[in-house]
Amino acid sequence: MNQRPIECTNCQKKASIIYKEIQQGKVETFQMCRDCPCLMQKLSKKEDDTQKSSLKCPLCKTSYDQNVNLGCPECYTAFQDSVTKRLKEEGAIPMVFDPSCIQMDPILLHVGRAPLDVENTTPIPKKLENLHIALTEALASENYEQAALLRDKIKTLMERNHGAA
Amino acid sequence: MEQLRKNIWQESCSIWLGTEFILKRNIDKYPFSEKMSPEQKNTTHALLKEALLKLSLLKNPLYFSLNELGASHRELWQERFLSTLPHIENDQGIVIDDTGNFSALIHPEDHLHLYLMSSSNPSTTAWKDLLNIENELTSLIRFAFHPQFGYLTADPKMAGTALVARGFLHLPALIQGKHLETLIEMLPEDVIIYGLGEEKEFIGDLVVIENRFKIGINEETILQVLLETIKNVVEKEKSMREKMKQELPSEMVDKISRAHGLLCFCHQLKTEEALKNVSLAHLGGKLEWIKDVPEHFFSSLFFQLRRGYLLSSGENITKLDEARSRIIRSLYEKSSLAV
Repeated sequence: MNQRPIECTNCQKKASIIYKEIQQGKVETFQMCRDCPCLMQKLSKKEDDTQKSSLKCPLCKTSYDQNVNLGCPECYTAFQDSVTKRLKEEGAIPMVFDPSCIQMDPILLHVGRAPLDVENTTPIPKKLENLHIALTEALASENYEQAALLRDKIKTLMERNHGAA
Repeated sequence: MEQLRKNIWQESCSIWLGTEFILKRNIDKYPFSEKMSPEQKNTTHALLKEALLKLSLLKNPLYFSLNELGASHRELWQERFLSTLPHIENDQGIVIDDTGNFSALIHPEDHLHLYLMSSSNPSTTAWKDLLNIENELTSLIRFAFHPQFGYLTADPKMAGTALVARGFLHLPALIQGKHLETLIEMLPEDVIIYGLGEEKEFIGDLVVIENRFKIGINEETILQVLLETIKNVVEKEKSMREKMKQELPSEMVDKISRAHGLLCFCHQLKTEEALKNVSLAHLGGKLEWIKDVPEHFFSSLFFQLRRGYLLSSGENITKLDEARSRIIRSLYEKSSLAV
């Protein structure tokens, strides 16, 4: 009797790799083809997890863990990229601020109030740049209420900048 | 704790019962509460307590340590602010003032949570009041802030504005008329909706609408979207009530008539059963199917029928169900069915 070739668990191509995953003492086996995107995803996730678990806050020594609270304010600087990614993955950022849409330096996710002294020391051009990006995104996603508020904020800042000059 | 027993419900609208704002803050340069050493907890606790008691905007502020607070007062606080107090540990405390609608909680997962409950709607004034309190605190304490992430909190999902804004709505016509699912589908993605019971359980037909995003959005937008959503939901509830009034659906007439009967003749009622039936009878009053129901009392009753309030009124813990039904019977004494 002809035996059917082993197929990739995910894409049904001929399998050439056996991938085993051990989680909480339970072994899960996958047959995978060489180019399987799921394999790539699993391997990159492993790499990512290893990198993340080695991340430690220099101040409170908390290791980064996606599922637990952060240890101190310094953790936000130490785990900046991981926290941004976590917020995105957990749907905690409105679509207009989806960082995957903005391929540049870390965008200021926070557009709300700031303590007065911070408000006065953050350079206005940087603030304006970020607000303009947010405005473009808000208009692209037809969030006109957000866009109107951002416009008001830009106007106020420009007036202040003009006044300072 | 008499402040927490005050009736703050003005009941200007029988659907939109109230709004609550919660601001979460952490003192700069200190670990978050869970990672603090006992010495750091003592220092920050003393710092926050002193600053809060000094605030000129609070009317006769009083401090209570959670350790010393009795079970009934803990429950009373939870019922007033519709929030859960953390598991008792050392160095946690609350501050309340004479208004009865402000409270500060020291050392939950963050160093400080500020609460302001308002029953007068629209609630932008309440938000401004809380903001003024926070501003005055900022002049005494430096809070942790990051240019990218805003105000920092132990849970990163709360960072940014670190503002939770919640509206409390009484929606018996939409819920009992089985239109809640449709309502949830039409809500904007910026808000979440839940009840005060377990998942998808809306005890007393009370619905909470809360801002989903704390970061990537400013405080004004949070408020604007929330208030706009609440207004739309209030309109939906009103039109559903109007429809019921005209169509007299027999299922609803039956439910409300049974609820009325139960409230008139009950001798032992558990909280959940009481709230469910009071909610239906209140709707009956609004639809003019029950005559002589006190005009606005649901939101007051919602508070006064609960365990913490009854216990703090001196009721015997073994006879709370009787006390609850006694209050209800006296309120419905003169009412009668009109359908």
